[in-house]
Amino acid sequence: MNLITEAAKALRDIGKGMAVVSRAAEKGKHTNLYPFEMPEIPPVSCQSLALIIEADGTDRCVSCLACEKVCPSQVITIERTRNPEGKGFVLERFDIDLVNCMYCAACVEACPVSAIVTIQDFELSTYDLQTLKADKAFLDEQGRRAKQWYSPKLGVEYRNEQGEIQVAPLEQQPGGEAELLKQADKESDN
Amino acid sequence: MSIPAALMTGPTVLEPVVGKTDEMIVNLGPQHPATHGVLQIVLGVDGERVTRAVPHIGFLHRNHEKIEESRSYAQVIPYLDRMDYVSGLQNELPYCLAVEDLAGLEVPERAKYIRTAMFEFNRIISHLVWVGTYMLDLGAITPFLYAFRDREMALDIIERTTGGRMLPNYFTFGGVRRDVHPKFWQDLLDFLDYFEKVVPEYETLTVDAPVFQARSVGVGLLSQELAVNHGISGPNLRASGVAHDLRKDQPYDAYPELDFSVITRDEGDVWARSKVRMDEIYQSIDLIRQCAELAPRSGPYLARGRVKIEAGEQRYRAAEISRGQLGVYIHSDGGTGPYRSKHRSPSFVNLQIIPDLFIGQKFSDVIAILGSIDIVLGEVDR
Amino acid sequence: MSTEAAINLEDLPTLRQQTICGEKVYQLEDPTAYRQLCERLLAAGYDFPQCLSGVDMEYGLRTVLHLRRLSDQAELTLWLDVPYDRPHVPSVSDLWGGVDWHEREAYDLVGIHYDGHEDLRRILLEDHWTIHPLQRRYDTGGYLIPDWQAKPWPDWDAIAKEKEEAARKAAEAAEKRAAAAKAKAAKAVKPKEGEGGAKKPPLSEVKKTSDQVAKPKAAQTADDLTKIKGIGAHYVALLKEQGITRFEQLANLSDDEAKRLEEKMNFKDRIAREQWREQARALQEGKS
Ligand code: SF4
Ligand code: SF4
Repeated sequence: MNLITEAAKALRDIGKGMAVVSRAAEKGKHTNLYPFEMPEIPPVSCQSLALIIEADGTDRCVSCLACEKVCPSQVITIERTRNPEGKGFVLERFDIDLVNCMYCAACVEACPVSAIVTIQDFELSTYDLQTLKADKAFLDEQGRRAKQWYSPKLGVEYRNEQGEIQVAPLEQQPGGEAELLKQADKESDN
Repeated sequence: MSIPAALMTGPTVLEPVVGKTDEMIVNLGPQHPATHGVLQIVLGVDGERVTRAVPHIGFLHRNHEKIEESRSYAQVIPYLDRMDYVSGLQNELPYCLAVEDLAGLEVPERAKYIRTAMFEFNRIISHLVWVGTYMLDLGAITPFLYAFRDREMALDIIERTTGGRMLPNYFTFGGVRRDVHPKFWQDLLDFLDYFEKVVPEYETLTVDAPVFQARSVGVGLLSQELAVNHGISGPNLRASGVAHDLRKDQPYDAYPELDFSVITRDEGDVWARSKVRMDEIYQSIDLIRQCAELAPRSGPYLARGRVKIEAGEQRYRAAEISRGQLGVYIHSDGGTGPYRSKHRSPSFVNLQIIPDLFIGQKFSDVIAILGSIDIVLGEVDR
Repeated sequence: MSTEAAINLEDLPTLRQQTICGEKVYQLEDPTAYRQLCERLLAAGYDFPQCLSGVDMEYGLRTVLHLRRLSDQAELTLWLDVPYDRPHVPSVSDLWGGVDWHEREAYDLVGIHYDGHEDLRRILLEDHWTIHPLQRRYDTGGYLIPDWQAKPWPDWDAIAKEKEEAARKAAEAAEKRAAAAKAKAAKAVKPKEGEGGAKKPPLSEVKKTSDQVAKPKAAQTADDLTKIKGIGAHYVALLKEQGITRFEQLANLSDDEAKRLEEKMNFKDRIAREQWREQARALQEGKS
């Protein structure tokens, strides 16, 4: 190959590259202007943890310590006392060290009553690290603020205008595919 | 001498040799963007030629293996994501396979396909990061922006399924942690339809680009014998003409049912390694399509079972992740967690070869060779 | 397989062969034999070094080498045990370049010295570290575990015999079970629902009886330490590791002992702050 053909080939290939770039430029933007435009985050996304309080104001948590035991980074501290009247326990302390938590959602999976859930609130940054050593009030507040949350047992849930907790429709649930198929099968059988 | 006096102590330092011309000692890293993390390479250069190279690693060391001594089998999995943070899902698989072998757990059919599809999907993501950062090392910014644009879409799909973007904690013993969402397979296929049209663009900008070819063809030659003897794996090995791929040679999950062939090239240079990765992206697209076609749409996604492993049992299991052979060695003492677990990370082994590859090369090729090995320092240092 | 037969294993002292979880394992105690075996394996075509790990076995240190033959994908595992006071192993990094850094890592983290390695220095940790953190005598924080004792060197012959015995017994039991099942199947002429009905009650009965047996025993030995405010299930497990399961033991802790306990278990003066001893004493009195 002499120099001229080589140069011609190089020019052609570079031209191809430029064509790719110009085509991409036509496609429009792929970024969004956070914080003015919020990204859309799927409901199962695990960005932070929260404790859920039922509509009547009682804790969902039954102080079973399952989450404390299962946590790989051992950041959950629960203290409980026996309920003087009746069965069960009274929660004295529920701390999660959100600084050292690695958002693996193992605690959410272990919870038998879906009291601890994952939420989509990712804006946890603070000026003071100590505020992320979350206590129960902090976690409750997160749960109250959250638009919707997720736990493997109950799926995606949200609070409606009246403050009642409702489970999201099947289409939005992970695992809904199998359920929907089952229903479709039944319908086709009938 | 360009390095500060503090670095001149200890065994990490090369004494300059005075030869024909004065040898110069150059410190590459640890805070150099082209080292993809914190890797230090002390180079001896004589004029334009590299005469010696001593890599130093361990700046990111967290000793996962010690932490895992005091964790239960299931608690180890989130730590695995953090080894190779570019392909978190892939890291979990060999460990799950090893524990399944030891505990005698069977994986349901549907879970196998989900795992395989996710595994291949993560390979695409990992190779995209490689395309982007490698071209950035070589001075081309454009592919980086495109690669991260597409990677973002792919990560969204992972997030919709697993709840995490890079650290998903999704695979577990006997299947996957939670069921896929209703539009999972459709999501994947839609992305692939879009993505398949984009990959040729990457090829135009990288392996087909004359500027890149001029920098890569014939550079950093790795011979077949050297590669095998040094335990090099993944695209680096296959680019040297060795058809070793654990997906074929020791198939796991749904790979026995899938139809594919091992991609190899004989050149063994930087360009061949890049080309193999590019072809693997096409291969992954094809494999995910096959998975989507063959996967059962209903059925269990997880076979729950107790993980009880007898004392004295041990297992080494490996899987072919995007960087090569990721192996896990588990030794059990009958307790609730691994007595000892060792992770054989591909980057750690592949990085050993750099003194052999660097010596005698031009100084400006050092970055081109280093990037072509595709290392992730989180995995090297564990 | 023909190459396998060509490996001469006769003259290697202390070599034991076994199969664990489908992996062929060669177990050795003699470093020279290890080196000889490695050379022969390389000659027999085991060309791909997969992994080399150091393991602290609590009686000594073990090098585990995983090899692969690319021609037929055969895998092999080598174990070499060396005692703590002589942790020297011949290096095989000249045979397989790929184990170079693995040997350095095993030296760094486990403390096995690979004789003949060209460049044996720490790889992951800083050069000035003095301990080898993956040894079992150190806890996760890198501190010496007090009262840590090395175990005696195992008697491999006895263990092998025991294993054989156990395998034989298991096989016998399986045979018996199979025979019983056969007999049962022969007996059971009834339709299937009867069988299912007959199966269930025994299961639950078994559970019940085991519960009944377990409960009084637990009451004799261990108290419910969670009654003490400040102690959760996690701490109960930790305390149990230290041998503390009863209120009495907690109540009778001296200041020194409490301090040691706190240090050991990372309690950070919780015992005094939350008045565990006082609570335990009160609970103990309430009980008796
Ligand atoms: S998300 Fe994981 S690390 Fe965080 S508190 Fe839950 S179990 Fe622990
Ligand atoms: S697992 Fe759930 S119910 Fe139990 S203590 Fe934790 S949050 Fe409460």
